[in-house]
Amino acid sequence: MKLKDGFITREMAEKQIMVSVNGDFSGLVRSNQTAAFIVDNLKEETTKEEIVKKLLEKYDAKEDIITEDVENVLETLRKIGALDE
Amino acid sequence: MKVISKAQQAVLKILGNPQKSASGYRLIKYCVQENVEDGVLLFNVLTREVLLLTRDEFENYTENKELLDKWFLVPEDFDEKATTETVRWVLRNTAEKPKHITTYTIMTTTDCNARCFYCFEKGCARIPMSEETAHKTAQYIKEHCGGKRVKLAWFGGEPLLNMQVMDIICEDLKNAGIEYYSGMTSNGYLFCEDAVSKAKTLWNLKHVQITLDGTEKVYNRSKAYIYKDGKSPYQVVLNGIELLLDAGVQVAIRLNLDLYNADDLMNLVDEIAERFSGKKGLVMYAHHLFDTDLSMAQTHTDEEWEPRYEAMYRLNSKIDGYGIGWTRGIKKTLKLMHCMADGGSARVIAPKGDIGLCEHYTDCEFIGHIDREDIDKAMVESWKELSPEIPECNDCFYYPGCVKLKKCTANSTCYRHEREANLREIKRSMLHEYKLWQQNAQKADDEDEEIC
Ligand code: SF4
Ligand code: SF4
Repeated sequence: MKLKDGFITREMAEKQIMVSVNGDFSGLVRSNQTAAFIVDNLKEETTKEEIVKKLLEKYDAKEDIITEDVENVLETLRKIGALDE
Repeated sequence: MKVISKAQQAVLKILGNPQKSASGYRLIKYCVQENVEDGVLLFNVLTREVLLLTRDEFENYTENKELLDKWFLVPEDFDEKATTETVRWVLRNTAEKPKHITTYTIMTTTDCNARCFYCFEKGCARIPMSEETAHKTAQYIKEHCGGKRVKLAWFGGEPLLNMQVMDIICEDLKNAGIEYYSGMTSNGYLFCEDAVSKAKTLWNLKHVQITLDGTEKVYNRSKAYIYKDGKSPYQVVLNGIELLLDAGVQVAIRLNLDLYNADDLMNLVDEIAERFSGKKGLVMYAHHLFDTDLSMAQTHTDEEWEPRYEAMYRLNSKIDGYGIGWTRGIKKTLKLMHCMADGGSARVIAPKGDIGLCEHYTDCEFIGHIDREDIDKAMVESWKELSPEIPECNDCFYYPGCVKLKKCTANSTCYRHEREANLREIKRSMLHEYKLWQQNAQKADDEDEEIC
């Protein structure tokens, strides 16, 4: 899976902002550090498992909590049509 | 606290919730203040909101939670410039790109019936648009406006020297069922009864900008019209203005201010205000006369600008005193584009059918031609290039509203007096909004009384 072309991001005050440049989604997604990390990983072709693995390397947290976080973020991105799967 | 003019919701949405601060809060650098009889007006240049605070509220502003929610207060270490960049980035990337070209500046000719010493076409070839090109221009507009209402801006030279092509373009658009209205930049000399009647019935002319350089003697000398019929050009132009105003066409008189003519222009304001007293649709404003080959900043040093700006302020306040100043309210949305050159929905059509983006270029900088569909994309992009920032931008109150194009000959650089003039203009707009708000409040009160 991969973030769709046309979804771009930028940092602002420790948050990441994501918008769609081709009108696929008219709102704005504001992400915390973890969600931003997931979005950044999705800029290249990847899988849910790979993202979970990378997060486990970065953060000292339980796998089931991290997996849940990743699933939540992916679900949000799916809802706004930002994922190519 | 009262809201005089609302914030741009899209900006507030991007900013999100106000940030917490352990080190305290301060006013955002982009806050402009102006005292009024019942308190202090605050304008946030980034969010576009205007508030009225009582003096008590203003004295204790750091404790005001609402000011924090509205981004007038920010943490001590807040980086407003980076935040502004992000806001602009989001707005630019999410704004709907114009799909059609709906504004056309049409140079009917580069020839002129006056010979002003400062004219930027001095030395340029004097080329009129041919009838064939006029028909093709109308066809081009028809094919590129997407059926939308179009604005035609007649420009020259002196556009009225080639009225035939204006007639052709308007007739063709009318026959094609394209809705249009127009504006014009003219010296006003050729606005006789016939022309004004055509302006109303065919050109759908809404407003004209006419430049006056001084009172009768000064004007007649500086314009050096080609006609030798013994008439005073000054009187001819004033008669034209009167005909236009009587026909309901708005006239904006631009006073060209140079180093030496301020006193004469002060007299001119009196004369014009007296002559057209009671007529609707007249506005006046002073404008610095400068060499368009140079940017404003390059033409003088700061010291040299001082008296010129003082003269401009004196002139404008005199004009305001007569109630014929050009008062604009607060722009409700953050400025993202500079002008027609980078806006994407406007084209300039030169007499030979060349297409440009800036009306100040009559023989170069073209992006295409009405005979062809291809557009020079690199040239289009070059008109979007911004002027480099200067150190003063870091703390400038005007930063969110400032867009300067590298290639704009009129406004690519920045100097102290321009910033001061911007501040004055913003305060004037705040007061304008405040007056409107007072009038609306008064109206609401009156209505209440009637209901009782
Ligand atoms: S260019 Fe001038 S007016 Fe614009 S933000 Fe910079 S200092 Fe302010
Ligand atoms: S001179 Fe400057 S402001 Fe005027 S059209 Fe050209 S780029 Fe725009």
